[in-house]
Amino acid sequence: MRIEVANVERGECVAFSVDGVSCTAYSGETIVAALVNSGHVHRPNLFCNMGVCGDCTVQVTWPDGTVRRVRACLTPVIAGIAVRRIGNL
Amino acid sequence: LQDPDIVIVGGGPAGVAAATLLRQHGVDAMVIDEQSRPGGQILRRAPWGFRGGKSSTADWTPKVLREKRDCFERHAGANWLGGHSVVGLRVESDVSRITVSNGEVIRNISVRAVLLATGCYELPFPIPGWTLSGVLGAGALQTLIKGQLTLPGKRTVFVGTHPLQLLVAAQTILSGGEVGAVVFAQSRQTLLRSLFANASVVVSHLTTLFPAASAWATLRKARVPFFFGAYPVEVQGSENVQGLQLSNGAVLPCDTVAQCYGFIPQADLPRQAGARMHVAGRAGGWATEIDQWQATSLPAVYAAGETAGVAGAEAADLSGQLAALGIAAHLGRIPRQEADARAAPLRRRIRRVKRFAAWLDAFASPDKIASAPRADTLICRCEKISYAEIDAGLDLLTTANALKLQTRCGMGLCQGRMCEASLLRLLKQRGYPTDPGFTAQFPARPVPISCVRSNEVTRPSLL
Repeated sequence: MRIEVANVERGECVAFSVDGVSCTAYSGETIVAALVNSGHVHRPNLFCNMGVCGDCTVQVTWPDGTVRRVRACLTPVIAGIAVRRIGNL
Repeated sequence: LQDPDIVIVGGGPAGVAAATLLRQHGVDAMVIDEQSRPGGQILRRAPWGFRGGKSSTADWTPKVLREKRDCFERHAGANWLGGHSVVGLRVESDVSRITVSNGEVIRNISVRAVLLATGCYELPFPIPGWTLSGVLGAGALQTLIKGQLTLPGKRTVFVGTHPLQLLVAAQTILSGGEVGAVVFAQSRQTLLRSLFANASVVVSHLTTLFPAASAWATLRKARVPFFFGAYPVEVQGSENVQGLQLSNGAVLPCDTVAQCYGFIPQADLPRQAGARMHVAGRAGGWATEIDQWQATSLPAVYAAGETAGVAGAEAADLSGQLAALGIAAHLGRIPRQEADARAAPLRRRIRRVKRFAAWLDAFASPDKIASAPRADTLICRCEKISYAEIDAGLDLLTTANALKLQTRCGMGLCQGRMCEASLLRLLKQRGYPTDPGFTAQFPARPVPISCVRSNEVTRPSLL
């Protein structure tokens, strides 16, 4: 759930996908925040939000075609990525 | 790209303070942090790309630290390396090799001195159902609010022993979220006794406690129920959290559970490099041993902030300055005499702050309630290893390393950070109180195998 704060303007809107479903987020959001805010029935795994637990790890196909697993809490969402949730490895 | 002389690992209050002081003496130190912006966890704020607005909700962090962070950010230039993880540290007599990764490529940096200012993380507290989506640390919830202007759910129940949960619960309310309850494991009497038995420490740190009082008022006004002397028995739900059952029989409907049991130092790098460590505090974990200049047992490796023992942001700032003086003197940039003179007041202030930290450590101790997990409690989140499996192993095995090999507890992505403290508690209960924990391994953070393979120079770190 995005917190509405007076005077705060979020970044530009970016389109990406989660498990094949199209979503939008704001530039500057981490992938995990984008997933929390995407309104999916199944929420992302998010435990420490600081990169120590690895629970939020997702597989990302980047716009250049490379595929890498990243910690979603540390990785900013960018336009055109395809996120696949893998749960705990 | 030329290697910097000095690397500071961690851009929180300790790292920022050290970099700022070193810069005043003409010493360039590169600060490396996993976050994209400086400030550490405590001073997280909205990302680049968001405009306007200072803070989403009540921000109780000291203004002086926020200003220092902003000043550092403005002037850091190439000395700030955000979005990078330090995954390896190897110390030789005259040089330290640091392995850094952005998750895509990996590289080694050779430096003359290292400051470990890696902060701390929340003590994970295993209960049945805690791997469901919607269970997270109270600090994690706070950084999500501060750093992303996002709430993880609609209705949150806070559970734990640490008063930080008051602040985060209030911030949740002020952000438009709902708080189902705040649950303290300590009884009301225990909490009051702890406050009054140490009145002198408490009174001399009233400004530190002001945020807790302010948060308390916010929660009362919002009619948030409080429970004392109750602890969580089970998180209910199938994939997402649906409720929390307490030891007093109450079942609290919620979609988010935030746990708050205290903090343990980030210790991967000093342990990997072989620094002398000691048991950190009642929450557990390992603190790096330091001397009067914040120097560790390893040559030209310093530690400041929570890495050397959890004591809060003010102590982190002060110890970062102290370490910077030590490093500047070590490099011959300031005379020993001057360093000594400037260090004395810093040390006095650190001692004062640490008295409060020691009180808080006792106040928030999770020890009493951490005794007997239910058999189906997953101790290891990554590999899904239950207490029953570990308990069976404990009949034969008496060290954390042996249990790891036998059960896979601690072999996952977190490298044991989520389960080690629990495992050491269990070993202690069985009469093995001095286990040194898991052997710390390279890499300290997950990196794709492709980037390790692609870089020959990283090989020595792997051996």
